[in-house]
Amino acid sequence: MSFILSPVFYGAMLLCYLIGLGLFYVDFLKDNRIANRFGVAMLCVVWLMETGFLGVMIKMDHLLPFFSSAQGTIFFSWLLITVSIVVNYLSRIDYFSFLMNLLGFLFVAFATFAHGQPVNIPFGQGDLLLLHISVAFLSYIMFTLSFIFSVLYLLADSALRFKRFQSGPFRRLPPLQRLDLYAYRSAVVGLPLLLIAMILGSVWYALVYGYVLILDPKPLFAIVLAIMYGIYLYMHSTGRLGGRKASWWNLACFLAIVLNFLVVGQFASQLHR
Amino acid sequence: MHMLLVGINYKSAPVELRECFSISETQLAAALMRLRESPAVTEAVIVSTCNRTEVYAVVTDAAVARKVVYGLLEQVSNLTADSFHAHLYTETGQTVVRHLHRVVCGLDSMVIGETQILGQVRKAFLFAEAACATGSLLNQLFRRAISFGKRVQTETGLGQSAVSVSYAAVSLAKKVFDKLNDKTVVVIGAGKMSELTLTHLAAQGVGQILVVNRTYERARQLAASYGGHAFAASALPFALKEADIVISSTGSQDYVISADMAAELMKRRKRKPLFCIDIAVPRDIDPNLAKLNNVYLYDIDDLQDVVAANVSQRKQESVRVAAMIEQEVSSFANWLAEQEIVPLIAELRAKALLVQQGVMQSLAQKLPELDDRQRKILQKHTMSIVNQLLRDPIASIKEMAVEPGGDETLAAFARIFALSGEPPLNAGAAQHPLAAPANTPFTDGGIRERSAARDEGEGKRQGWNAASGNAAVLPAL
Repeated sequence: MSFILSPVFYGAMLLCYLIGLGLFYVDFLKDNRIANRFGVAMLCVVWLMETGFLGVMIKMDHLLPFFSSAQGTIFFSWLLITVSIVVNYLSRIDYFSFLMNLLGFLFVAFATFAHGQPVNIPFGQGDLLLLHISVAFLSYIMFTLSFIFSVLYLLADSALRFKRFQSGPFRRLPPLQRLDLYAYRSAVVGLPLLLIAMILGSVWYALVYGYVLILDPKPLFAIVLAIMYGIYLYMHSTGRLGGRKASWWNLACFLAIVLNFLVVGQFASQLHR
Repeated sequence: MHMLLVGINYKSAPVELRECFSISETQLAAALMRLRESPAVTEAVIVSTCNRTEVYAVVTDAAVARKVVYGLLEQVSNLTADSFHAHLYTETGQTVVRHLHRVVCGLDSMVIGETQILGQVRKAFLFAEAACATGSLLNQLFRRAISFGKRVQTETGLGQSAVSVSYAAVSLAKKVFDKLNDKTVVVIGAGKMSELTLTHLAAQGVGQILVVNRTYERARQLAASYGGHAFAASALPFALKEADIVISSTGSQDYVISADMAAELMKRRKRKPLFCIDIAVPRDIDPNLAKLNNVYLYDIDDLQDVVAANVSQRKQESVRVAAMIEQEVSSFANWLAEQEIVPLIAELRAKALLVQQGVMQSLAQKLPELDDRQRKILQKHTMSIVNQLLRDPIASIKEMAVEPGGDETLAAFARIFALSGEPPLNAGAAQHPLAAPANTPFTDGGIRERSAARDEGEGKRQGWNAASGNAAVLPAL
């Protein structure tokens, strides 16, 4: 058990992830199906290692791995890998695995440097906090999916506009309309989840401290995020924003998510350290 | 038994000659029957398409069978063998297997990777099977080849990309739109290319077709052919508002759709993607349209580029498919070797059983006092000796039969155990269905022939055809 929590195990996990990512990169560049299959296999290994890692943490702390930023980041990457494997199994979308796991790897690598302490949970209030964090994670996953589909959209759009008929994005990516729809639908699911997570977080804070905290960078930034995604969805559904402009806007939204998750949560806010 | 292929295709003969060998469905049954009437032909399949007529056969005597096939071709074409034999190609042994696999996956087609041929070969095989013209060997060969053809279509990109300009436009549209059945196509100008592109789009099941033309009557005619609606040129802005796909090929000297017009249009159509194909020269659509968000504009040169890219990709894929074919050829050879060994093993077992029964009879005579129980014990133990002795040789010969030189091994095995063997074994390696016949008198007569050893690809075939310009003399049929 101590081996699983050791730096050697963590390093091995990162190395496997890096190898898997490298294989996906080979597939990305050369359209190599064998590399893709080995990449998926390596991803499964990383998934098992992360599952073991999180399992041991849960067993030791008797807490789900949500309550420190490092654990949360690994859990988030675990969710990304899970989604990636499921999507790969159900419907292979070229480049999807590569981009998804590039993000996952960055999160795991980031967790190496994050040293957040577990939050001190007053008795009886853990369930609400747990719900808040898990719903927030789900919304982040949906926004990540939306982001990846938008990136794929921009790649395919650029291949079509610049007439790169021999390029991978032209030959291998699904039609633009489908990518746009997937990006939109993922955000459609993500936004209500984000709003629910914000409400749950506010309720939890009000129950614990007796008042609702608004003037903290984290809730303020979350409101900005909800507005940004709200604009994206409203403009997209009414036809005022479409095509690559919509995708660029979605990318900006996700950049805000990353800032919120990694920077505001880690360094600016008093709430989420 | 040998496998034999005699054929004529677009590489070996011009269309004026090829069309003489076309065998219609109504003639096919009689043609197959004629082949099967000969004792030299045990199985036959005839594949006849616009680009090829090929007779695949399993034969006991290659020379006689070839005469029979030539006779059939003379009858079908009403030509004398002298006039066409220079355009025929003959394959034997493994080359037949390789050739059929190349045919089914479109490597031997005029347009590399075309998929229609697979259906044609399948139909020809099913017809021959229904006419009882096939046996275990051709059944296995064609089933494997058809299944391989399907695998190539799904696993490789050989036949997946467009190689005609009109279909390239459709494939580009499918890169933008997920489905075409809810899309509206606006055709501006009712020219030949527009119609061709429209044919492909209509085949994909587009939702609505609007034809706009300077001459309303021509627009009406074209729209009627595809169940669309016709409009005069003045209704163009209205039609464009509805459009998802625009195909333009008018003879206009000015832009029919300007960038300003399109920018205004995009606002009104809520920025839905607009896919434009400009086939006209001079161009009908302002190239600046391509700068607008959600507008995808391609001209005739772009379509040519798509075709060139796809042809290049098909060539790359064909190398991969050729390697897959070699695996299939090898796998078929293994299957055949396994089939070859089954009667041999059965004969060996029967012989061993005969020895064991002889021993049991001898024991019964010399030891009459044995009771039933003792006889059963002796029977069981003598059978055990037989089985234990045969187990290793049988296992080894099964492995060795599929290795290179398996035919010689089988012959040696038969000789060691003094097995009579069926015709293939008696005749030695030359009688193996995948082996080229040892004696091919027609070759001496000048018939174009490629043996398995000489088959080194299509380039060589063409070169060889070109080289043999002198008409060869065909022996009397």
